[in-house]
Amino acid sequence: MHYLLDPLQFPFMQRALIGTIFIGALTAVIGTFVILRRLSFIGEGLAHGSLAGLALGYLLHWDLYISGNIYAVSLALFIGLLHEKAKVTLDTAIGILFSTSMALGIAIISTMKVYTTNLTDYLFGSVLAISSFDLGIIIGASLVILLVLTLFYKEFVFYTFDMEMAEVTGIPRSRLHYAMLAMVAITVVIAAQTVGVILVTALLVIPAASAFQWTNSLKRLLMLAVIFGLTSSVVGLYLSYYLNIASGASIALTAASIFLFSFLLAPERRRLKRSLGL
Amino acid sequence: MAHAIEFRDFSLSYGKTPVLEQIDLGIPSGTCIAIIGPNGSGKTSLLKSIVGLNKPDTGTIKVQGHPPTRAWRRRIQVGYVPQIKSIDKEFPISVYEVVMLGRTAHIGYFRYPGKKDRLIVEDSLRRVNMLHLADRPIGHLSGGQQQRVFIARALAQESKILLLDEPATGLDIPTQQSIYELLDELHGDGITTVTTTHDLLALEFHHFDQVLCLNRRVIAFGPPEKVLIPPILSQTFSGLPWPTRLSFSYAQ
Repeated sequence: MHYLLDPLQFPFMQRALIGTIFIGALTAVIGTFVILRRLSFIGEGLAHGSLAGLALGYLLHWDLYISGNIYAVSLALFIGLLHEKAKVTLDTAIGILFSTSMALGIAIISTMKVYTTNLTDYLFGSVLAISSFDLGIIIGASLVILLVLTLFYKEFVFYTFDMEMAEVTGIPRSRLHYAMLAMVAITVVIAAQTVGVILVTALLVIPAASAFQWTNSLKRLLMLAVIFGLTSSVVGLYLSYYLNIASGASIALTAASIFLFSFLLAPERRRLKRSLGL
Repeated sequence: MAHAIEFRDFSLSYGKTPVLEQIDLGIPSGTCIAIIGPNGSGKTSLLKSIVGLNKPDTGTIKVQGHPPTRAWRRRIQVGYVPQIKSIDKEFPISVYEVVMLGRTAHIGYFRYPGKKDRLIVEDSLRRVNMLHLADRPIGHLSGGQQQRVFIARALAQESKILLLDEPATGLDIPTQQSIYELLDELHGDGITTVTTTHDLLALEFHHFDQVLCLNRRVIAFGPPEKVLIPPILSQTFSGLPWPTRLSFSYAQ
């Protein structure tokens, strides 16, 4: 027991634990919609693209978190707009904008004399550096996003399952789409705090994909994804503390272990595996 | 008789390609309409325009007197069953939940389905003989069964107008017949139905009040015995061969 409690005597570990709990739940829920809507690539794109926002924030001495969030949301909405107005697929729009944005980020960073530690924190994640202010943003944004998803649950499900028919029956598809993109953007920037920009996709995709192995019901899927997301985050955090490895890596690897376990054991897929001769 | 759907000088193009030209058409309430025409004649585009998915270049459409995109705000729902398309087989949603989606606008924001919604969903599933599969994931059903579920979803919208895009294509004969029987039932309930088909034999299976021959323009619109005659069919299908058995039976 003291293995669990000992680290918590440090205030930075307390903040880290609370932060990862919220981030683990938030990424699992948003990640479920991301997987079902086939938006995995956008999480990756926004995470990398947000680098420019962080670099800009650093250059102008703004709060990195807030500038990163604002930048990522704008980028997400712009991706949606480009997809809608220019004749390009969503994947292509993401590809164009995230690489451009990342190039901008690299250009800005390369003008700086020192490769700052703050920025490397964002690249690789540094859950132990969460300040009380950061924690406030994490909790606030998580609660708002989860509230929006709860209030408009059936509308988001319809939009995710069948965009065209949702529009026909009067669901404001376009607004839901942009809201989803913005929520993914905020989630990505917030999660980057724990796992880093590079591994953000791990938290977004792996817990939901693991849950997918176990059930055919969306509600159960969401619940399991949250459980897996929380487990990955918390276990990963402790592993990071005791093994002295980067928190992003330990969280992502824990999530991956859960996926492997689910893939091999889940009853829902057993028949499929048998038919494949596995 | 009031018109359920009315087109006035309606034209539509995708980029520079004209799809529908100068459509002037009034579909009377409560009638059972078939739209025939070859592939690419604009049948699907016409249906999508009625539900507001296509914006016209010129002209107007009115659904029960209102433009389509506004129509839903007034709770005038148009039931639309698109062509069979491949859906995400792994999407975690049951047949029952898919049909309940049809109730979304009725339920309204910040609310959950009530007893009335559940009864309507069950009744809709019963009408397409799918109630026994209500708990199955939609992806585990065959194409024909999925099609019936999507018809049930449209029924659950309780709309006075139902559009079916090639509902019989790819289905076996008994399933096709059950869909046409359902059309008859809906007709009895006073619901306007518009069904597209590229298969003229469908017109032998089922009696439609009026047939619209479409090939980018309205070639003809009227009762089947007046419309299904060789010169009109020949013009509709641009000289392509149509099933001679059919033209023969109507010619007699």
